[in-house]
Amino acid sequence: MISNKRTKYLVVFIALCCSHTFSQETTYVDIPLTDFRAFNQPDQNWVITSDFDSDFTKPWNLKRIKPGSGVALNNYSEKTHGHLVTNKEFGDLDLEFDFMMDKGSNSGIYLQGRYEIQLFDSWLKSNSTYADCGGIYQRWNEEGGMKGYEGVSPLVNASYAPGLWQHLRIIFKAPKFDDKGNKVANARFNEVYLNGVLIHNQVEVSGPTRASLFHDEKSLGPLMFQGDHGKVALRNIRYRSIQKNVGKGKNSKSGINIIKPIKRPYLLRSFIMFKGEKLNKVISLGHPSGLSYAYNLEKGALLKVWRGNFMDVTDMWHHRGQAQLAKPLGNTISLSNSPAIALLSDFHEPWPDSIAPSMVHQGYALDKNGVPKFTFNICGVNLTDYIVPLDDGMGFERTLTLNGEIDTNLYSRIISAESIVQISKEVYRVDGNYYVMIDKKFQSKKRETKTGQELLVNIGKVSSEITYSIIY
Amino acid sequence: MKTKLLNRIISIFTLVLNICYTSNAQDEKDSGKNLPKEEDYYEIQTIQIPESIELGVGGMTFTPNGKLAVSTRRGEVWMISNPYQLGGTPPNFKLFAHGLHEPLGLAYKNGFFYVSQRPELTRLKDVDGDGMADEYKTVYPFDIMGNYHEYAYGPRFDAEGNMIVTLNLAWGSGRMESLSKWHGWMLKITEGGEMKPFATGMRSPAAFGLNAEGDAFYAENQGGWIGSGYITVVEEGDFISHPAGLRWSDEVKSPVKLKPSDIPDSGKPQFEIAKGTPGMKAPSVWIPHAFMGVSTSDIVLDTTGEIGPFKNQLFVGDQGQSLINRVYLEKIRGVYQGAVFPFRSGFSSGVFRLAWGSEGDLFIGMTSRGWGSVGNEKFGLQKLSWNGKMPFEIKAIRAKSDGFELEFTQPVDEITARNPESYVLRTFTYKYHSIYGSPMINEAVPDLKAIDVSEDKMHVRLVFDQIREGYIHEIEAKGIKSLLDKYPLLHKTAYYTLNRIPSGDFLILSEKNKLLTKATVTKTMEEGKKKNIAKGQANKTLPKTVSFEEVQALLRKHACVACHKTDEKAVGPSFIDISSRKYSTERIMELIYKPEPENWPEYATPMPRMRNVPTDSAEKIAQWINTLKK
Repeated sequence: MISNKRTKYLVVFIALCCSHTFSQETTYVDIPLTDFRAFNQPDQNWVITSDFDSDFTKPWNLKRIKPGSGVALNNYSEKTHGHLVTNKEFGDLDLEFDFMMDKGSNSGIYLQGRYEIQLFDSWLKSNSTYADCGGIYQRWNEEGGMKGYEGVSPLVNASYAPGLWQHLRIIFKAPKFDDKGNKVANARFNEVYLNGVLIHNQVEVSGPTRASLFHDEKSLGPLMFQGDHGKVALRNIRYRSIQKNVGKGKNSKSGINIIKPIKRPYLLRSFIMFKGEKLNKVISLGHPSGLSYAYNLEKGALLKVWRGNFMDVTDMWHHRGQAQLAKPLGNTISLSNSPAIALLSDFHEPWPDSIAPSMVHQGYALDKNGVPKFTFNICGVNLTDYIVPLDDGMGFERTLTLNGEIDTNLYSRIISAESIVQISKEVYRVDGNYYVMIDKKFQSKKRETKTGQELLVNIGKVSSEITYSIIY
Repeated sequence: MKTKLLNRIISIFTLVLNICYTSNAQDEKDSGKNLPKEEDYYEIQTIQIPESIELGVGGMTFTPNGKLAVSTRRGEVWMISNPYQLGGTPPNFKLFAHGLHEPLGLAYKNGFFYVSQRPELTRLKDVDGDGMADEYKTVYPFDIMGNYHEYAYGPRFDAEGNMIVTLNLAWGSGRMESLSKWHGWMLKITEGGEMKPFATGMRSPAAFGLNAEGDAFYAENQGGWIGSGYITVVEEGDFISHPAGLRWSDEVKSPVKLKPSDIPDSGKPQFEIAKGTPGMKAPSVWIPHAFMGVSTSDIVLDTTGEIGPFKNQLFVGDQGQSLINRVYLEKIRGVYQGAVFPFRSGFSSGVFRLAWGSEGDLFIGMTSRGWGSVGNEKFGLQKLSWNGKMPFEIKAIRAKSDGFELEFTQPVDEITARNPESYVLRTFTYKYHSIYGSPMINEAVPDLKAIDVSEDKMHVRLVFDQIREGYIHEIEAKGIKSLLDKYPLLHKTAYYTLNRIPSGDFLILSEKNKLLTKATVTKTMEEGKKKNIAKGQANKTLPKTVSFEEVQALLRKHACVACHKTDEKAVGPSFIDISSRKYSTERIMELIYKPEPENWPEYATPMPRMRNVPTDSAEKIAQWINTLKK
């Protein structure tokens, strides 16, 4: 019996070890935001919420902070503005989280309470510095007379608009020390991705950043989210140990062929993955301004938009290109693979997934700047779809034009999302992922669906031309 | 053209001079050193491409302004001014369009470019006149599943002004399949976008062209159901070879009535199956795998005769072997057949597209990305031109009821022409089955019965005891010499596909055409000297049971030489490189049957499983490879 019992304990022990190792190696551990238990008693400026009204046109008015949890909001004020610091201390780390900046706001994530990646509203800035979003902020040594040194700017500005959820992933190596406590290796940001775009690639830091929690260097330290500069929200914070570089397999090479639009837009026909499906009749536009979209020509569906770099075409141009897939560089904002326009019997008929047989795509013509205007024939009437980068770089303006009379209920679906929040007369915030701005003269109407909400315009009845902007 | 004429005059003059020296020069010529080579007649000139451009050629056509338009596998269309590099000036490259999805064909008509992309046939137009396309009109969308092998080729305009397009099969689970509609088919599409499925049975129809009569021929590549590459005429409603496309034969628009179940997977020769299967045709001209090429590509018709005395013949590219073959066609009892001859080899990359320049030069557009080629550049553009000197070639081979008539480009030397030992005829065919490729089967060596040399010495008629309908006839005229300078043929071997034996017109045997005895010939001829460079050293270490000649024959027979050379990198590694891996004989044999392409990552084309090689042959080959170890 005794031996039996021992065996049993041993098994449990091994199982524990294994599961422990497993979680260390491959799976993420969440830092819960149901409350602030994981943090060292933050000041009152930090609030747990589920959602709040965010905007990009003006600084946040945080009068309505919804109950619930999942989001940590820094309701900064001049009086109260403490940092948010984890109880747990970390060394080497693969960390990721979502964050949302107030208009013009400033914050930062300090690894080990010492090494900062800047969080900032750097939307639309053309030349990012160390002080912009994703930058490794400067060091500062007053006594040594060294003010402002070793800041590192991000490789590219991949910032989205304030009031939208953005994503940061940091693979960080802590400094290393010998038995006597002498530092033998600097801390290092192996890789940092902002919104899916690589912004730092193996950057060493010789010591703590300005305004760090500690001035020394150690093997371990807590995570610190800066609270004393401005409003910011956080969610989905999770981490794991640094993964060993697993060979990526010979069929999924990347980085060998990259398309970067210079001067004129690059228009690329390719296959593209969209929500797990390989789409074959896709055209993507990469604009020199850094704005990109992918469009399903067959359906007139605007599939996704993104910002930063354009496209990795290694799977198309390297060797045989067996996948023939173009991979957008960066976290794309997924829109929809349903047709932009449809004939509905009435306002309540569900939106179709496929295009009506009476609607046929006919190709496209380029404007003088090289931006395409897609053409469809719908019941014998010509319809164009023209998606142009906004002059200020905020996103795209889409114009659908019906060149003729049509005697049916032709609708355009402007938005399909889980949640559409109207934040002003003409602006909608869509799932916290992008904004849509549409003139009220188009009389857009919101409706509920099984999975969320939609915004429709009756294109035939109201106007033969409708225009709206997608801002991100 | 003036230069060419001058060259011809000079060359005739040289020929006359040469006659005086022939007898003395005989020995030297036979030793191979001074024998004419392809480059003595056909010059290859490389067109300079700016380093920033990756011109992996997919399609190529000239415009009325003398610009060469090239579509690339990266989706660009380049307009090349002065591709001839006249005045010693390099050509200019201007980007006309970009972002197309691997466009493997380009045609020009009335101010429009037409281009096949994977997902559609597109019409491009420069509307505002700035030299860049700004209208991309979908002429006809293709169904696709997103498989990388679903290539679209073309278009080319037929005599009626329709666009011919072909769609490649997809690479399914270990075999080619038609995953979406009309793949494995040739389509005809009007400029207005009306599509007519025209014929099926295609596997990898990378190219097609029209012959002098305006009939469409397409080029096929070896694979499942395709024993070897070929070119063949395509008529409406035809089923050719690969049954995958028959999946769509019950569609309303299909002119093909055969069902997949009508096609037996028996391994019998294709002409036998075709005979018993109404609606199915055997290929017009086989291009025997390994001997003449490994991956048939573009077809162009010589309409001018400005690149040699070959007017109305077809030139057919080969991607893997970086060469161009020549095809003479004739129609016997209503059926196309003919002979394929080597024409010019040694291009810098994989020959994929051919286009005629204005001076009768042939432009060669190349790519080897993903599919390796003997010319090991990744891509390239070259120009082939004739210097006007007359090569000694078999110009044409015509079938006769009792043999063949060979027509030459120069008068032949009568003694060598009448010597029966100057010729070897071998007949064979391929299996028609779902397995990849085929060994040569049913080989036979017919005997010569008579040789008749025409009065003008330009024609030689060969009568055999047997010629075989449906079979490929390998005609090797190894001993024949030209009359004037006693040169051997520039290319000694040709392959005639005998789909029909013509009726009547038997040669009456007489003293004039009876075979010369050996004794008669010996007096005036020397023994041909076999040239085997490696022979001496190899024999030292080979087991006594294996001779070097035997191994060479095996390497040819099993098409090893299509991809491997002894000491030089080709489509695959050289035999010496393989020997340096120090594999055991057993291991090499294992790799013959089950290759491991991952061992040779620098080679793009994986080796197929050579299941048809008998074990004893594989062993001999393996033993021989191991004698090459350094």
